[in-house]
Amino acid sequence: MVHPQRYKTVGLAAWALSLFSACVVALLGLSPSAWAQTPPPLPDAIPLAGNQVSLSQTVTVRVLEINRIAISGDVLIPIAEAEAGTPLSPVTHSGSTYALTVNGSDKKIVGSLDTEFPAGMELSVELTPPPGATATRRILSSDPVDLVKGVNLIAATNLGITYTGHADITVAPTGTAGISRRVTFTLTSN
Amino acid sequence: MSLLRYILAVIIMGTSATSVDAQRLEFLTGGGPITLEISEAPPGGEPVDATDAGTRIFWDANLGVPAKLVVSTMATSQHFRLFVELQVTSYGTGSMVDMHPEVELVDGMFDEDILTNILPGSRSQQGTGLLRYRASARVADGNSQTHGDDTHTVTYTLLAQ
Repeated sequence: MVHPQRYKTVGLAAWALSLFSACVVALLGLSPSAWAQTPPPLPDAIPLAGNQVSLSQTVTVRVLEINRIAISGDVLIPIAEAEAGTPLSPVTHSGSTYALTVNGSDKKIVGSLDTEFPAGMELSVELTPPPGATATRRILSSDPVDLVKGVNLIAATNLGITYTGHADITVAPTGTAGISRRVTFTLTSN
Repeated sequence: MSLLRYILAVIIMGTSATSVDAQRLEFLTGGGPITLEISEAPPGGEPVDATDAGTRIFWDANLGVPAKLVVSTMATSQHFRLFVELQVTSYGTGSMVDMHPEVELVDGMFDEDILTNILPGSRSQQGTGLLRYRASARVADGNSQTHGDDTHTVTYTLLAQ
């Protein structure tokens, strides 16, 4: 590493030598055009300390609001057990999960069915809330209902979904195909 | 007498070269304002980084001593993360510049090296490279709707090492 002071000293010497040379040229009557051409650079040219050149660019970082939710697979809830003389027992399924990413504040998850179940059947759902949020068990219908509220700045996976199916005795057996309904969870602003 | 004039002229030409030609640092492509937009995330995951590699620069150190390229930024009320890496695409004959890993650009940072050991010499002191920017944000950082965009003035400086 060369000390900056040394640059200054050598630079000064070069400047003095240039001045001296210019005087010699003037004395000898050399025409400026004889030497005012682009000089060949010396490989060992020494710069003045502090020589530098800069360039700037404007870079903007923009983060859009991101609300993502995904749920795992389809669910089958067979309602088949009942003791003689008693109503059919509700059946609970808790193997499903959901994941969500929210980089905004005060979001909620609502749930709804694509079409209503026949009379005498109902499906309720309860979601495990992400940290900081609250959840309520609700019966689903075609009108969206609030399931989780107060979702803020969270990325979480494997949050539980618990469904409970219920059918009363008036519901005719559906066979193995059952009655399918599409449950939609929507992440939205509160 | 004419021989003496010739000799003196040669000496003078050599001497005047000690005031070196200006060094150069230029954008070859790009160079205008860039916007990196983070808009995607997998459910349950963090937002996906946004990148841009559309800016190419040229340098000619011409300092007579080993040179380097440094970077800094000004970005008031910065909320998200921005990184830059110089990917050298060509450099002068007889040169072996040292590329540096990605540098995080933080408001008020000191100059950080992104390229060092640009050796002096008419052939070795020049080169070109691609500036690769990467913007990153965590869910916990929120979004621009809340905080506004981060605007950086990123400055590259070529100077003696």
